[in-house]
Amino acid sequence: MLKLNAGFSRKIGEPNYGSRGASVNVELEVESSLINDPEALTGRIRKLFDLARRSVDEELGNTHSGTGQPRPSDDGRRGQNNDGDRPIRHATVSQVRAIRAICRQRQLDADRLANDRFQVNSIEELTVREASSLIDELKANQASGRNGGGR
Amino acid sequence: MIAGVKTQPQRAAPCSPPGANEVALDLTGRDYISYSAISTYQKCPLRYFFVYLAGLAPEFVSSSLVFGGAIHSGIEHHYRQVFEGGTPPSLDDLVAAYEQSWQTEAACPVRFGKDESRDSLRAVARRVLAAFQASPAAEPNGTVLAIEEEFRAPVILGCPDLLGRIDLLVLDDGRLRVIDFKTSRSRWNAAKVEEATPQMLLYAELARPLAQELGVEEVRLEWIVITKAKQPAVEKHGLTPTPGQIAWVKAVVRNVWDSIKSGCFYPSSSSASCATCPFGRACKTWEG
Repeated sequence: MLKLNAGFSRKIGEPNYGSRGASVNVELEVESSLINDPEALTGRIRKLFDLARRSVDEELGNTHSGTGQPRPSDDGRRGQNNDGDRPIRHATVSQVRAIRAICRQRQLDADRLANDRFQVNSIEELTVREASSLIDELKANQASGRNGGGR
Repeated sequence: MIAGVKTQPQRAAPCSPPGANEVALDLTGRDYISYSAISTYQKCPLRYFFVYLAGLAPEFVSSSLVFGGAIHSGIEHHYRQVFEGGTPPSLDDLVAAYEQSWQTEAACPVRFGKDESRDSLRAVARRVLAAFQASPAAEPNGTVLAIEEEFRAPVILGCPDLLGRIDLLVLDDGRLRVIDFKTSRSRWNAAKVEEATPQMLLYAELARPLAQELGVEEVRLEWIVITKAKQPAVEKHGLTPTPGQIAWVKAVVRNVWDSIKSGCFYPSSSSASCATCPFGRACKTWEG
Protein backbone atom coordinates (compact mmCIF):
# COMPACT_ATOMS: atom_id res chain seq x y z
CA MET A 1 0.00 0.00 0.00
CA LEU A 2 1.03 3.59 -0.62
CA LYS A 3 0.21 6.39 1.75
CA LEU A 4 -0.69 9.83 0.39
CA ASN A 5 -0.69 12.73 2.76
CA ALA A 6 -1.99 16.14 1.64
CA GLY A 7 -2.31 19.27 3.72
CA PHE A 8 -3.82 22.66 3.08
CA SER A 9 -4.04 25.75 5.24
CA ARG A 10 -5.42 29.22 4.69
CA LYS A 11 -5.55 32.40 6.73
CA ILE A 12 -8.01 35.18 5.99
CA GLY A 13 -7.95 38.78 7.18
CA GLU A 14 -10.47 40.00 9.73
CA PRO A 15 -11.39 43.51 10.84
CA ASN A 16 -9.04 45.26 13.25
CA TYR A 17 -5.99 43.43 11.96
CA GLY A 18 -7.23 40.10 13.14
CA SER A 19 -7.13 36.94 11.15
CA ARG A 20 -8.72 33.52 11.14
CA GLY A 21 -7.17 30.39 9.82
CA ALA A 22 -7.85 26.73 9.27
CA SER A 23 -5.77 23.80 8.17
CA VAL A 24 -6.54 20.24 7.16
CA ASN A 25 -4.29 17.25 6.67
CA VAL A 26 -5.71 14.17 4.94
CA GLU A 27 -4.07 10.81 4.71
CA LEU A 28 -5.15 8.15 2.25
CA GLU A 29 -3.93 4.68 1.52
CA VAL A 30 -3.89 3.76 -2.16
CA GLU A 31 -2.93 0.65 -4.07
CA SER A 32 0.82 0.19 -4.57
CA SER A 33 0.39 -0.41 -8.29
CA LEU A 34 -0.29 3.32 -8.76
CA ILE A 35 3.44 3.87 -8.47
CA ASN A 36 3.70 2.51 -12.00
CA ASP A 37 1.06 4.93 -13.28
CA PRO A 38 2.35 8.44 -12.50
CA GLU A 39 -0.56 10.15 -14.23
CA ALA A 40 -3.14 8.32 -12.16
CA LEU A 41 -1.11 8.87 -9.01
CA THR A 42 -0.87 12.61 -9.68
CA GLY A 43 -4.63 12.66 -10.27
CA ARG A 44 -5.26 11.06 -6.87
CA ILE A 45 -2.93 13.52 -5.17
CA ARG A 46 -4.67 16.43 -6.87
CA LYS A 47 -8.06 15.15 -5.74
CA LEU A 48 -6.75 14.84 -2.21
CA PHE A 49 -5.54 18.45 -2.24
CA ASP A 50 -8.84 19.64 -3.70
CA LEU A 51 -10.66 17.85 -0.91
CA ALA A 52 -8.43 19.47 1.72
CA ARG A 53 -8.80 22.94 0.13
CA ARG A 54 -12.59 22.69 -0.14
CA SER A 55 -12.82 21.58 3.48
CA VAL A 56 -10.73 24.53 4.67
CA ASP A 57 -12.73 27.00 2.61
CA GLU A 58 -16.04 25.61 3.85
CA GLU A 59 -14.75 25.89 7.41
CA LEU A 60 -13.79 29.52 6.86
CA GLY A 61 -16.97 30.32 4.97
CA ASN A 62 -14.80 31.27 2.02
CA THR A 63 -16.22 29.75 -1.14
CA HIS A 64 -13.55 31.36 -3.27
CA SER A 65 -11.10 28.51 -3.46
CA GLY A 66 -8.51 29.74 -5.90
CA THR A 67 -5.27 31.39 -4.86
CA GLY A 68 -3.62 34.40 -6.38
CA GLN A 69 -6.90 36.22 -6.89
CA PRO A 70 -8.37 39.16 -5.04
CA ARG A 71 -10.35 37.93 -2.09
CA PRO A 72 -14.12 38.24 -2.43
CA SER A 73 -14.34 40.90 0.26
CA ASP A 74 -11.57 42.98 -1.29
CA ASP A 75 -13.76 45.89 -2.29
CA GLY A 76 -15.26 46.07 1.16
CA ARG A 77 -11.79 45.84 2.67
CA ARG A 78 -10.38 48.80 0.86
CA GLY A 79 -10.63 51.78 3.13
CA GLN A 80 -13.22 50.44 5.58
CA ASN A 81 -13.53 47.58 7.94
CA ASN A 82 -16.71 45.77 8.86
CA ASP A 83 -17.32 47.14 12.31
CA GLY A 84 -18.13 50.74 11.67
CA ASP A 85 -16.81 53.80 9.96
CA ARG A 86 -13.24 53.47 11.15
CA PRO A 87 -10.94 53.10 8.15
CA ILE A 88 -8.58 50.17 7.79
CA ARG A 89 -5.07 51.53 8.03
CA HIS A 90 -3.03 50.12 5.25
CA ALA A 91 0.65 49.28 5.47
CA THR A 92 2.92 52.20 6.24
CA VAL A 93 5.03 53.69 3.44
CA SER A 94 8.11 52.33 5.23
CA GLN A 95 6.69 48.80 5.18
CA VAL A 96 5.78 49.01 1.50
CA ARG A 97 9.28 50.27 0.69
CA ALA A 98 10.88 47.51 2.73
CA ILE A 99 8.86 44.74 1.07
CA ARG A 100 9.63 46.09 -2.38
CA ALA A 101 13.34 46.45 -1.55
CA ILE A 102 13.69 42.92 -0.16
CA CYS A 103 11.74 41.44 -3.07
CA ARG A 104 13.91 43.35 -5.52
CA GLN A 105 17.05 41.93 -3.90
CA ARG A 106 15.62 38.44 -4.16
CA GLN A 107 14.14 38.97 -7.63
CA LEU A 108 10.61 38.31 -6.41
CA ASP A 109 7.43 39.93 -7.67
CA ALA A 110 6.28 41.76 -4.55
CA ASP A 111 2.66 42.29 -5.60
CA ARG A 112 2.29 38.70 -6.70
CA LEU A 113 3.72 37.52 -3.42
CA ALA A 114 1.25 39.68 -1.51
CA ASN A 115 -1.52 38.33 -3.69
CA ASP A 116 -0.51 34.72 -3.07
CA ARG A 117 -0.16 35.20 0.67
CA PHE A 118 -3.02 37.59 1.44
CA GLN A 119 -5.19 37.74 -1.70
CA VAL A 120 -4.72 41.45 -2.28
CA ASN A 121 -4.01 43.22 -5.55
CA SER A 122 -0.90 45.03 -4.39
CA ILE A 123 1.33 45.49 -1.37
CA GLU A 124 -0.28 48.84 -0.68
CA GLU A 125 -3.52 47.01 0.19
CA LEU A 126 -1.93 44.97 2.98
CA THR A 127 -2.80 45.87 6.54
CA VAL A 128 0.00 46.94 8.88
CA ARG A 129 0.00 43.52 10.54
CA GLU A 130 0.01 41.65 7.25
CA ALA A 131 2.87 43.76 5.95
CA SER A 132 4.79 43.18 9.16
CA SER A 133 4.31 39.45 8.94
CA LEU A 134 5.41 39.42 5.29
CA ILE A 135 8.57 41.39 6.13
CA ASP A 136 9.39 38.93 8.93
CA GLU A 137 8.85 36.02 6.58
CA LEU A 138 11.01 37.52 3.83
CA LYS A 139 13.79 38.32 6.27
CA ALA A 140 13.66 34.84 7.78
CA ASN A 141 13.94 33.30 4.32
CA GLN A 142 16.76 35.70 3.52
CA ALA A 143 18.64 34.71 6.65
CA SER A 144 18.17 30.99 6.07
CA GLY A 145 19.25 31.50 2.43
CA ARG A 146 22.41 33.23 3.59
CA ASN A 147 23.17 30.53 6.12
CA GLY A 148 22.37 27.71 3.74
CA GLY A 149 24.35 29.19 0.90
CA GLY A 150 27.44 29.77 2.92
CA ARG A 151 27.83 26.35 4.47
CA MET B 1 14.41 62.45 5.25
CA ILE B 2 16.73 61.01 2.65
CA ALA B 3 16.92 63.37 -0.32
CA GLY B 4 14.77 62.41 -3.24
CA VAL B 5 12.44 60.17 -1.28
CA LYS B 6 8.91 61.47 -0.95
CA THR B 7 6.45 59.79 1.33
CA GLN B 8 2.72 60.07 1.55
CA PRO B 9 1.28 60.76 4.97
CA GLN B 10 -0.93 58.14 6.58
CA ARG B 11 -4.44 59.52 6.48
CA ALA B 12 -7.25 58.89 8.87
CA ALA B 13 -10.88 59.40 7.90
CA PRO B 14 -11.64 63.11 7.65
CA CYS B 15 -13.78 64.25 10.57
CA SER B 16 -12.69 67.85 11.01
CA PRO B 17 -15.56 70.29 10.91
CA PRO B 18 -16.17 71.27 7.34
CA GLY B 19 -13.95 74.09 6.37
CA ALA B 20 -11.07 73.81 8.86
CA ASN B 21 -8.67 72.46 6.26
CA GLU B 22 -9.98 74.91 3.68
CA VAL B 23 -9.47 77.85 6.04
CA ALA B 24 -5.89 76.71 6.60
CA LEU B 25 -5.35 76.37 2.88
CA ASP B 26 -6.64 79.89 2.24
CA LEU B 27 -4.50 81.37 5.00
CA THR B 28 -1.26 79.50 4.66
CA GLY B 29 -1.35 77.61 1.38
CA ARG B 30 -1.38 74.33 3.37
CA ASP B 31 -4.52 72.42 4.32
CA TYR B 32 -3.05 71.26 7.62
CA ILE B 33 -1.12 72.50 10.62
CA SER B 34 2.09 71.17 12.10
CA TYR B 35 3.55 71.31 15.58
CA SER B 36 6.39 73.36 14.16
CA ALA B 37 3.92 76.03 13.03
CA ILE B 38 2.16 76.07 16.40
CA SER B 39 5.44 76.28 18.25
CA THR B 40 6.68 79.09 16.01
CA TYR B 41 3.54 81.09 16.75
CA GLN B 42 3.94 80.52 20.48
CA LYS B 43 7.51 81.82 20.39
CA CYS B 44 6.72 84.83 18.22
CA PRO B 45 3.44 85.43 16.34
CA LEU B 46 5.17 87.78 13.90
CA ARG B 47 7.78 85.21 13.06
CA TYR B 48 4.94 82.78 12.31
CA PHE B 49 3.45 85.41 10.01
CA PHE B 50 6.74 85.84 8.14
CA VAL B 51 7.27 82.11 7.68
CA TYR B 52 3.80 80.71 7.09
CA LEU B 53 1.73 83.59 5.71
CA ALA B 54 4.15 86.00 4.04
CA GLY B 55 6.44 83.19 2.86
CA LEU B 56 9.61 85.17 3.53
CA ALA B 57 12.91 83.40 3.11
CA PRO B 58 15.01 83.48 6.29
CA GLU B 59 18.20 85.56 6.24
CA PHE B 60 20.13 82.55 7.51
CA VAL B 61 19.64 79.16 9.03
CA SER B 62 21.29 78.12 12.27
CA SER B 63 23.98 75.47 12.12
CA SER B 64 22.31 73.51 14.91
CA LEU B 65 19.15 73.16 12.83
CA VAL B 66 21.05 71.94 9.76
CA PHE B 67 23.22 69.70 11.94
CA GLY B 68 20.21 68.12 13.66
CA GLY B 69 18.49 67.47 10.34
CA ALA B 70 21.62 65.94 8.84
CA ILE B 71 22.14 63.65 11.85
CA HIS B 72 18.52 62.56 11.44
CA SER B 73 19.31 61.60 7.85
CA GLY B 74 22.24 59.46 8.99
CA ILE B 75 20.08 57.69 11.57
CA GLU B 76 17.24 57.26 9.08
CA HIS B 77 19.69 55.70 6.63
CA HIS B 78 20.73 53.18 9.30
CA TYR B 79 17.18 52.11 10.11
CA ARG B 80 16.05 51.94 6.49
CA GLN B 81 18.95 49.79 5.41
CA VAL B 82 18.35 47.30 8.22
CA PHE B 83 14.55 47.37 7.81
CA GLU B 84 14.89 46.76 4.10
CA GLY B 85 16.85 43.58 4.62
CA GLY B 86 20.40 44.91 4.45
CA THR B 87 23.24 44.79 6.91
CA PRO B 88 23.79 47.83 9.15
CA PRO B 89 25.60 50.53 7.16
CA SER B 90 29.16 51.52 8.00
CA LEU B 91 30.00 54.71 9.82
CA ASP B 92 31.30 56.17 6.54
CA ASP B 93 27.89 55.49 4.98
CA LEU B 94 26.13 57.32 7.81
CA VAL B 95 28.49 60.28 7.49
CA ALA B 96 27.84 60.31 3.73
CA ALA B 97 24.08 60.51 4.42
CA TYR B 98 24.79 63.34 6.87
CA GLU B 99 26.82 65.20 4.22
CA GLN B 100 24.18 64.74 1.55
CA SER B 101 21.52 66.13 3.84
CA TRP B 102 23.70 69.09 4.80
CA GLN B 103 24.11 70.01 1.14
CA THR B 104 20.36 69.76 0.54
CA GLU B 105 19.22 71.58 3.67
CA ALA B 106 21.76 74.39 3.75
CA ALA B 107 20.14 76.25 0.86
CA CYS B 108 20.53 79.63 2.53
CA PRO B 109 23.56 80.90 4.47
CA VAL B 110 24.36 78.86 7.57
CA ARG B 111 25.08 80.81 10.75
CA PHE B 112 27.70 78.96 12.74
CA GLY B 113 28.24 79.29 16.47
CA LYS B 114 31.44 80.48 18.05
CA ASP B 115 34.44 78.29 17.14
CA GLU B 116 32.22 76.27 14.81
CA SER B 117 32.72 75.47 11.13
CA ARG B 118 31.33 72.94 8.71
CA ASP B 119 34.50 70.86 9.17
CA SER B 120 34.34 70.96 12.95
CA LEU B 121 30.67 69.95 12.85
CA ARG B 122 31.48 67.10 10.46
CA ALA B 123 33.88 65.77 13.09
CA VAL B 124 31.18 66.10 15.74
CA ALA B 125 28.75 64.32 13.43
CA ARG B 126 31.12 61.41 13.05
CA ARG B 127 31.36 61.03 16.81
CA VAL B 128 27.58 61.38 17.28
CA LEU B 129 26.80 58.79 14.60
CA ALA B 130 29.44 56.40 15.95
CA ALA B 131 27.90 56.71 19.42
CA PHE B 132 24.46 56.01 17.93
CA GLN B 133 25.75 52.92 16.10
CA ALA B 134 27.26 51.55 19.29
CA SER B 135 24.16 52.20 21.39
CA PRO B 136 21.17 49.89 22.00
CA ALA B 137 19.07 52.43 20.08
CA ALA B 138 20.60 51.15 16.84
CA GLU B 139 18.84 47.82 17.38
CA PRO B 140 15.46 48.66 18.89
CA ASN B 141 13.47 45.88 20.52
CA GLY B 142 10.20 45.10 18.82
CA THR B 143 8.81 45.40 15.31
CA VAL B 144 9.60 48.54 13.34
CA LEU B 145 6.47 49.88 11.63
CA ALA B 146 7.59 53.23 10.26
CA ILE B 147 10.76 55.25 9.78
CA GLU B 148 10.69 59.02 9.25
CA GLU B 149 7.10 58.85 8.10
CA GLU B 150 4.43 61.51 7.92
CA PHE B 151 1.14 60.91 9.70
CA ARG B 152 -1.86 63.12 9.21
CA ALA B 153 -5.15 63.10 11.07
CA PRO B 154 -7.88 65.46 12.31
CA VAL B 155 -6.96 65.13 15.97
CA ILE B 156 -8.30 68.44 17.30
CA LEU B 157 -11.89 69.49 16.86
CA GLY B 158 -12.18 72.81 15.07
CA CYS B 159 -8.60 72.73 13.78
CA PRO B 160 -7.18 71.63 10.45
CA ASP B 161 -5.64 68.17 10.18
CA LEU B 162 -2.44 67.79 12.10
CA LEU B 163 0.61 66.66 10.13
CA GLY B 164 3.64 65.23 11.89
CA ARG B 165 6.74 63.34 10.90
CA ILE B 166 7.46 60.50 13.30
CA ASP B 167 11.10 59.47 13.45
CA LEU B 168 10.54 55.85 14.42
CA LEU B 169 7.44 53.83 15.26
CA VAL B 170 7.93 50.47 16.96
CA LEU B 171 5.46 47.87 18.20
CA ASP B 172 7.07 46.36 21.28
CA ASP B 173 5.67 44.18 24.02
CA GLY B 174 2.10 45.40 23.71
CA ARG B 175 3.11 49.05 23.41
CA LEU B 176 3.37 51.36 20.45
CA ARG B 177 6.58 53.37 20.90
CA VAL B 178 6.77 56.77 19.23
CA ILE B 179 10.48 57.59 19.14
CA ASP B 180 12.07 60.96 18.48
CA PHE B 181 15.80 61.57 18.00
CA LYS B 182 17.42 64.71 19.34
CA THR B 183 20.93 66.10 19.35
CA SER B 184 21.78 68.33 22.26
CA ARG B 185 24.70 70.29 23.65
CA SER B 186 24.17 68.72 27.06
CA ARG B 187 22.31 65.88 28.69
CA TRP B 188 18.60 66.34 29.12
CA ASN B 189 17.03 66.91 32.51
CA ALA B 190 13.37 66.74 33.50
CA ALA B 191 12.79 70.33 32.35
CA LYS B 192 14.06 69.52 28.84
CA VAL B 193 11.78 66.50 28.65
CA GLU B 194 8.85 68.66 29.70
CA GLU B 195 9.74 71.24 27.08
CA ALA B 196 9.78 68.60 24.35
CA THR B 197 6.61 66.87 25.51
CA PRO B 198 3.86 68.88 23.72
CA GLN B 199 5.09 67.91 20.27
CA MET B 200 5.21 64.25 21.21
CA LEU B 201 1.77 64.38 22.83
CA LEU B 202 0.41 65.41 19.47
CA TYR B 203 2.39 62.69 17.71
CA ALA B 204 0.93 60.18 20.16
CA GLU B 205 -2.50 61.29 19.01
CA LEU B 206 -1.46 60.81 15.39
CA ALA B 207 -0.31 57.28 16.19
CA ARG B 208 -3.28 56.37 18.38
CA PRO B 209 -5.62 55.15 15.59
CA LEU B 210 -2.90 52.77 14.48
CA ALA B 211 -2.44 51.57 18.07
CA GLN B 212 -6.18 50.93 18.34
CA GLU B 213 -6.24 48.92 15.16
CA LEU B 214 -3.29 46.88 16.34
CA GLY B 215 -5.11 46.22 19.60
CA VAL B 216 -2.49 48.11 21.59
CA GLU B 217 -3.62 50.25 24.51
CA GLU B 218 -0.43 52.03 25.48
CA VAL B 219 1.30 54.61 23.30
CA ARG B 220 4.71 55.32 24.79
CA LEU B 221 6.68 58.46 23.99
CA GLU B 222 10.47 58.16 23.86
CA TRP B 223 13.33 60.49 23.13
CA ILE B 224 16.77 59.27 22.18
CA VAL B 225 19.08 62.17 23.01
CA ILE B 226 22.66 62.19 21.72
CA THR B 227 24.96 64.83 23.14
CA LYS B 228 27.33 66.74 20.87
CA ALA B 229 30.23 66.22 23.24
CA LYS B 230 33.76 64.91 22.74
CA GLN B 231 32.41 61.63 24.01
CA PRO B 232 28.74 61.73 23.03
CA ALA B 233 26.25 60.10 25.38
CA VAL B 234 23.15 58.34 24.05
CA GLU B 235 20.32 58.51 26.56
CA LYS B 236 16.70 57.45 26.48
CA HIS B 237 13.89 59.39 28.12
CA GLY B 238 10.27 58.39 28.04
CA LEU B 239 6.77 58.87 29.32
CA THR B 240 3.30 57.51 28.82
CA PRO B 241 0.94 60.43 28.30
CA THR B 242 -2.08 60.92 30.53
CA PRO B 243 -5.49 62.00 29.20
CA GLY B 244 -5.01 65.29 31.07
CA GLN B 245 -1.79 66.04 29.18
CA ILE B 246 -3.46 65.25 25.87
CA ALA B 247 -6.43 67.50 26.66
CA TRP B 248 -4.03 70.30 27.66
CA VAL B 249 -2.01 70.21 24.45
CA LYS B 250 -5.16 70.06 22.33
CA ALA B 251 -6.47 73.16 24.10
CA VAL B 252 -3.18 74.94 23.41
CA VAL B 253 -3.30 74.11 19.71
CA ARG B 254 -6.98 75.09 19.46
CA ASN B 255 -6.29 78.49 21.00
CA VAL B 256 -3.20 79.12 18.92
CA TRP B 257 -5.16 78.23 15.79
CA ASP B 258 -7.96 80.60 16.81
CA SER B 259 -5.38 83.39 17.24
CA ILE B 260 -3.89 82.66 13.81
CA LYS B 261 -7.36 82.68 12.21
CA SER B 262 -8.16 86.01 13.83
CA GLY B 263 -5.04 87.56 12.31
CA CYS B 264 -3.36 88.31 15.63
CA PHE B 265 0.31 88.85 14.74
CA TYR B 266 2.81 90.87 16.75
CA PRO B 267 6.51 90.64 17.63
CA SER B 268 7.24 88.84 20.84
CA SER B 269 10.45 90.61 21.70
CA SER B 270 13.01 88.88 23.85
CA SER B 271 16.75 89.29 23.90
CA ALA B 272 17.24 85.54 23.71
CA SER B 273 15.13 84.81 20.66
CA CYS B 274 15.55 88.09 18.74
CA ALA B 275 19.35 87.70 18.70
CA THR B 276 19.07 84.46 16.77
CA CYS B 277 15.95 85.27 14.70
CA PRO B 278 16.49 84.99 10.92
CA PHE B 279 13.78 87.60 10.25
CA GLY B 280 15.39 90.50 12.11
CA ARG B 281 15.41 92.89 9.12
CA ALA B 282 11.79 92.16 8.20
CA CYS B 283 10.78 92.63 11.84
CA LYS B 284 12.44 96.04 12.08
CA THR B 285 10.62 97.33 9.00
CA TRP B 286 7.25 95.78 9.87
CA GLU B 287 4.44 98.31 10.08
CA GLY B 288 1.59 96.12 11.29
